[in-house]
Amino acid sequence: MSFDDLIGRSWDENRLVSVLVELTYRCNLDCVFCYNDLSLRGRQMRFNDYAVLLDDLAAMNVLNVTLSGGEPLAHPDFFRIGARARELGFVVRVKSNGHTLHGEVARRLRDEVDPFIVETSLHGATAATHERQTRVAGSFARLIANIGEMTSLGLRVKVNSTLTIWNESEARGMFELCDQLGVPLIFDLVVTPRDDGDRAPLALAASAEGICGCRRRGTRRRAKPPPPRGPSRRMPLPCRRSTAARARRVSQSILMATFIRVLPGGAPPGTCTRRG
Amino acid sequence: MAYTEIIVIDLSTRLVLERRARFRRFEDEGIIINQQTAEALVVSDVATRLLELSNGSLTLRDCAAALSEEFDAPAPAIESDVVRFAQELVDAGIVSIA
Repeated sequence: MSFDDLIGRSWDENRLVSVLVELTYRCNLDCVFCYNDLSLRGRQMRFNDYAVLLDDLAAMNVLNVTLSGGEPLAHPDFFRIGARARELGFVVRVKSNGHTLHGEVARRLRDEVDPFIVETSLHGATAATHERQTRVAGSFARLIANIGEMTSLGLRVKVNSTLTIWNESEARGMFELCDQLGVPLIFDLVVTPRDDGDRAPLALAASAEGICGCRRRGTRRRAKPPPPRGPSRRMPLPCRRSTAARARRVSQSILMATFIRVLPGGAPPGTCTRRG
Repeated sequence: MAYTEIIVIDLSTRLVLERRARFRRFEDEGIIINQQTAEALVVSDVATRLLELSNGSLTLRDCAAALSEEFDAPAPAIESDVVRFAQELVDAGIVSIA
């Protein structure tokens, strides 16, 4: 059975593969179109709470845990939680705005959490556009420098961007910028309402022309061609049924095939969102 | 001149999962993610069990004995397959010698 088949079967059997853990809604940026419901109240889950959650997920054989936010590094126990996830054998992804990921913080992320990938957010090809959306002066230059530093440390970095009316004319420049940085860029073409139903972010939605133009050019670009796939290998051990073992590149979308979302204030069943 | 380290596996070898490799059982099969190369490998139930037994304390001979019992297969055949598979995993950077 191939990796795709196995993930597909997990989907069919409603087996949990990936979990998105929103550690906190605190953030050091102030993005105009952020979808998080910042009015949510509740007790901040701490390390011990997350340790129990991660133990349970490991017992369920969940493969992938994404640490997100808000800005996940703003959680006071981020490194302990990330290290625990690593110890438990999860494939850890970190979704961060990248603003603090330099120097000792970046090194600790690599050494203590060992993420499969760090996903950061770029909002424009110029400081003016990027910072118009993040509303933090200097955030563009800092992100570009931090991406360079992370890749030089050996961290695998991917850049996400939401196409908006403000940055749609810079899509080509953003691809060029990411090419220079040697990291892939993926556009999300949809601006969504906030989780509390507030539709204000939709005012920034990209125009039809902007979306069509981005679609024409492609919404994603790899940093460089992927290495050739490994040959199919047959497992030499005697099996009850024949099974080929195939090496293949891990697709991010596949890893996210079946997942739930855990909110930072604790997630009663009603707030666990299952997404396909 | 560059030298390539040759790691020889035999039945006395003890294996552990590489630091950058991740492994999960999916019922009767296993998925190995090699974070270094961003590759996924799907392995059979027997191989999955071998990886579970590779905790650094059991030798491959111990593992083969356990597999022979659990899967009702002759030990000599299992032993040679275990060594061959272990060598593949070491070469692929998925496990290392404890």
